[in-house]
Amino acid sequence: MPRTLISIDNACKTYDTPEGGKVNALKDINLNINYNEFVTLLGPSGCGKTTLLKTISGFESLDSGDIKIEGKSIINTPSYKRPVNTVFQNYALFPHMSVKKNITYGLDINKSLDKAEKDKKFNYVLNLINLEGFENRMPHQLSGGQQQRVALARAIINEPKILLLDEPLSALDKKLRSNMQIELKNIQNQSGISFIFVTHDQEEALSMSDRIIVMENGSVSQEGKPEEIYYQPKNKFTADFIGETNLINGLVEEENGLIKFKNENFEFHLTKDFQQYINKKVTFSIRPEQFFTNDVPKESNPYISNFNVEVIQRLFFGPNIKIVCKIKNQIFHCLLKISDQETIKLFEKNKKISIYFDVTKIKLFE
Amino acid sequence: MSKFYQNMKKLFNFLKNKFLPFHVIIFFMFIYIPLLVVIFLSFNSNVINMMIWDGFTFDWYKSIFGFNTQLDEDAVYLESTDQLLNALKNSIIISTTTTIISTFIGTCLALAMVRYKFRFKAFYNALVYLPMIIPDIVLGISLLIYFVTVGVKLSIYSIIIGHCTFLCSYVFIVVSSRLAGMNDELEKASNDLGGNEIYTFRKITFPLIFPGIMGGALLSFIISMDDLVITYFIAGVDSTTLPVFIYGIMRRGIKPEINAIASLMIIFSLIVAALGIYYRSKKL
Repeated sequence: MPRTLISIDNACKTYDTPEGGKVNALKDINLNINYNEFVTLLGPSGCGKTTLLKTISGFESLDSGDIKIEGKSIINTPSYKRPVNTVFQNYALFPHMSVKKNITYGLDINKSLDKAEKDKKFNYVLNLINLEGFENRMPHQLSGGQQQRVALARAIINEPKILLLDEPLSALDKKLRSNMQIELKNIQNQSGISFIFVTHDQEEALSMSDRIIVMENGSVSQEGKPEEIYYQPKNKFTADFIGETNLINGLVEEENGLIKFKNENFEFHLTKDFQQYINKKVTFSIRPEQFFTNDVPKESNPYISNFNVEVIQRLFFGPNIKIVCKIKNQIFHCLLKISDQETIKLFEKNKKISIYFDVTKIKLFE
Repeated sequence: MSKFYQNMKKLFNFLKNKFLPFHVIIFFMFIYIPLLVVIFLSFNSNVINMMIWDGFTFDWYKSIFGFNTQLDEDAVYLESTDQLLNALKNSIIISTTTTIISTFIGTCLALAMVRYKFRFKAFYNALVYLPMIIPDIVLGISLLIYFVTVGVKLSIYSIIIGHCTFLCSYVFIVVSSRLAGMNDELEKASNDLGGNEIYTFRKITFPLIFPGIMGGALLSFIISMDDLVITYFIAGVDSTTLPVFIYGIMRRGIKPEINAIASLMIIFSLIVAALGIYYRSKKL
């Protein structure tokens, strides 16, 4: 049973907009985060994820609600006394201090450590971030990725209970970003610190997190393991925000004891599991990669359904090919695996093809 | 038509290539020749008419520093060296005190205005800029009326108070632009790492805005040193400053040592200004 490190209870926060209105940045948020957990707050900009992070670090106060670390409320503790450290989006390295001074900044405040202990800790984190030999450089003499790692080292050297990371990788280029993702994950494993990671990059969230908290308009839309969030989205927002999804509006009807999804462009049969949606307007969601083209005999799997579509566009990605196709006015995106050059020819523009999908794997949202 | 156009273009290019460097030279000559003339004449040994060259001498410089020289005794002008030195002394006392006070107040103001949110901030901001925009003569007269009404005796102290009223604004502008250019996340980061407000100010904010503070201080020193209009109104009998003194004896005719004093002030100002530019240009 994982132990709770930090619990956020009924957190509310409103902002005044410059126009005189009010924005609910946080609406009654309840969250628990465990020891040694990598949690990601994921959402579009303005969803409240950064506000939530700031209330934990102490740069914003809550209007109501409570934040407890190991059972003790911290909302009246000033930020410099909280057992929390932050890695800022733009790193916020002190420009007038060397790498070493930057990293040991937190240790220097705490006078209880002697020099030998300080050096030991410093060498440990320097090794962890792989920047030996750089300790006397100034921040502006470092590359973006190196600055990022110094910012990380500066935070973890204080051995906080929780490390908050506010979109720390957003300023890095793609290749560096994926390297840093792996490094961050390693550092989290080695240090045993709980990470709360804020991002709007869903791929980053999926690949790194133990748990993802999807936020929308100041409330939690869904939380769970990355694979749960991806394959079992609870609502339209999550389905749409995480990964790519075809979202199609329509109606569920019962006809001669069979359940059907129907709109003006097409219809197909649903299984009994979708009974609850009968006579309701719904949105049906299917991921592009859930389509396939192999001819599967209908008899072998009664839940396979198919669409006859016309190809509008195809985009070749190497291992995959993305096909934009339509039935009447309805456009679909499909991502198909391919392994040889011949297969690509099957998806020429304007060709009529059949695409298949497993009805049990689709999602309906009201 | 196109031929005409081409000719025009040629002419323009010709002017650009030949005349532009010329223009730059003329521009700088226009500004610096008067200053060079003063420096040149400060070495003139003519005791009767300082405008006519009569040989090279260091005597005027010597006489400023209190040495007796032959030229000094021969000079037909009114004896003014003591008054002049007294005015210089007053000016230095006033500038130094004013710089310390206005740098402190201006920096505090800048910190409050840039780092904190409060009601009527825009209004206060405008109030701080106002002393710089108001014409000196208006500021001088109003300060005089104020001092007389309140009953402050005109002296060195009234000049110090008067100078501080507008020099705080200059310091404020220099320091606040430096502060605004500084990422406030740095202060948050220090806070986050365990530094309280005082520690953060000492270790982060102050070192980073120090060049701005220095720049503001040097600027206010120079402005205070050569302010004439405002000082003219609020200077008491014994508290004449150097610019006011020079202005006062202009018509009476002054000893050529004024050139030496002016030359020294030019060099001093250049050093201070260069220092100021150096500090302001230091990168964050």
